[in-house]
Amino acid sequence: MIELNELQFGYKKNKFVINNINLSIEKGYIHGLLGKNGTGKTTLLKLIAGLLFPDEGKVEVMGFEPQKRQVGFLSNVFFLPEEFCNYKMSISSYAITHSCFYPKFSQKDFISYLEDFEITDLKHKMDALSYGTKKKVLIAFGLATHTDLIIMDEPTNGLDIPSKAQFRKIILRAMSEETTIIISTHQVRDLHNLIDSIVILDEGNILLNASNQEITSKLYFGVKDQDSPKEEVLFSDDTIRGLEIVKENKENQESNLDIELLFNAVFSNKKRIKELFNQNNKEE
Amino acid sequence: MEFNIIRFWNLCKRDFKINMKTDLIMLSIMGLIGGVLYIIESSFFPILMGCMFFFLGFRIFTEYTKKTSRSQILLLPVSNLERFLCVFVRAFIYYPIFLVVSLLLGTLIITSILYILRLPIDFNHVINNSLDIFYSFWRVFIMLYLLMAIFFFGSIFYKKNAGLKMGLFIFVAVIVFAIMSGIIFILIGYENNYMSNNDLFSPSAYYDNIIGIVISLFFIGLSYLRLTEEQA
Repeated sequence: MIELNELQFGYKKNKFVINNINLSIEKGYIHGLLGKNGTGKTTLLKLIAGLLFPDEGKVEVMGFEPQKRQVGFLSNVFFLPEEFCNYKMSISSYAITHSCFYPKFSQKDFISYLEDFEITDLKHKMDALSYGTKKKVLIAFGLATHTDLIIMDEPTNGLDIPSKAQFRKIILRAMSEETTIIISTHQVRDLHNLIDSIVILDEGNILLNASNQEITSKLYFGVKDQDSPKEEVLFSDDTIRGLEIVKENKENQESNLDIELLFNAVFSNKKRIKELFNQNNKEE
Repeated sequence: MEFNIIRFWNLCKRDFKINMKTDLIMLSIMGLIGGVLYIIESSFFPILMGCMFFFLGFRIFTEYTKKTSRSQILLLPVSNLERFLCVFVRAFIYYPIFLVVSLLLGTLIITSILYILRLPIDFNHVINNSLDIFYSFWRVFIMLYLLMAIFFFGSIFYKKNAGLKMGLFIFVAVIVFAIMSGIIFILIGYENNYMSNNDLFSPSAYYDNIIGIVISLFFIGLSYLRLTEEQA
């Protein structure tokens, strides 16, 4: 679906935001792109969407070079930016003027997604809506386009707590075998039980790129028992439930992925995590 | 180069819808102000139109100047050619036509108001004079389109205050051209004694027009190339 080969990009000469990235993203899954603020998540998404052109290396998405902005590519990609412009038109006008460019757009689904977000009056002007409501309209529109690739940059920013839960439900409802969704966020809890694989970026490099299954087969997430040797723990967090830990899964125990714990474990043990996952990839 | 007439039509409709309000307000104001000035002195027409094209120049690539709207327009599933032609139609067809029509309506409205107020005005003369707007526009057509082509390029090249920067660019270019012409004229005059030959630097209107069209096409072509390289 998406192939990035030795990709380099910088806004200034010789200062790369994306530094020699190789990445392959599979079709039909929800991928989470995680990283701290300013690590290049938005830049990477823009490179995939063709909004930015690589300095070095190659980006290939569905067989297209995004920077060429061919209609066949653009009509199969929807990009939801973190910040968007204020259109001085109603929600229904927005849908009419923009849906004609997306051959697989479904008005029925658009209205259904809006209803899930509790937006029923389509006569509201887009520029009069709150940031969160505008975002909901754009999320609903993006999913209703039924493009093969949907890219969302910080989609849960500005959404209230019930809407975040609704967002997760709608995303899962909109998924099909043909759809690939990339969600970038630094609010890792918002992606809980939603994503199939995780890419973690750090200073323009990829720290981790693995499916949930691969992660839980190599790392164990749970509450620390008395017998666990301290040196095996990659990260621990003292919570009400006890001392939550991430450790290497040497005994092949089953556990549920905790994205926040994983995120912190990755950043506190960069070298070990890289070794662990690279070693696994080599073995495979 | 991909081109689909239905997609292009949809893009133009979208563009019209987004810009409609601001364009109508701007063109109406220009029509009324222009109408007054045209009634006062119709020989100001080329300068008047030049000034109006200058203000319209600010609005040509508005969607490409703001970061947020730039991402939206660049990711809209249309080809670069369709995207470019849509803006081209607005700048070179829609704006001039509506500007001339609004000027015509402006002069008629102002004349009617003056007539109702029983001010001394020759109504028939003004009506005939108003209809001359089309002829006046036709006479300065190439010059105005050349100006628009420069602003057209400037508004995609500069992200902020494009009209102002291009206005300054034209001002400096005209001064440099005048100085250069003067120097060449004096040098040739001294050596060849052509100072008194008035025809030397006044080629026929035919050549002026050809040069005007070539320069316009150059800036329009350059604008297209700039658009294909636009990033968000």
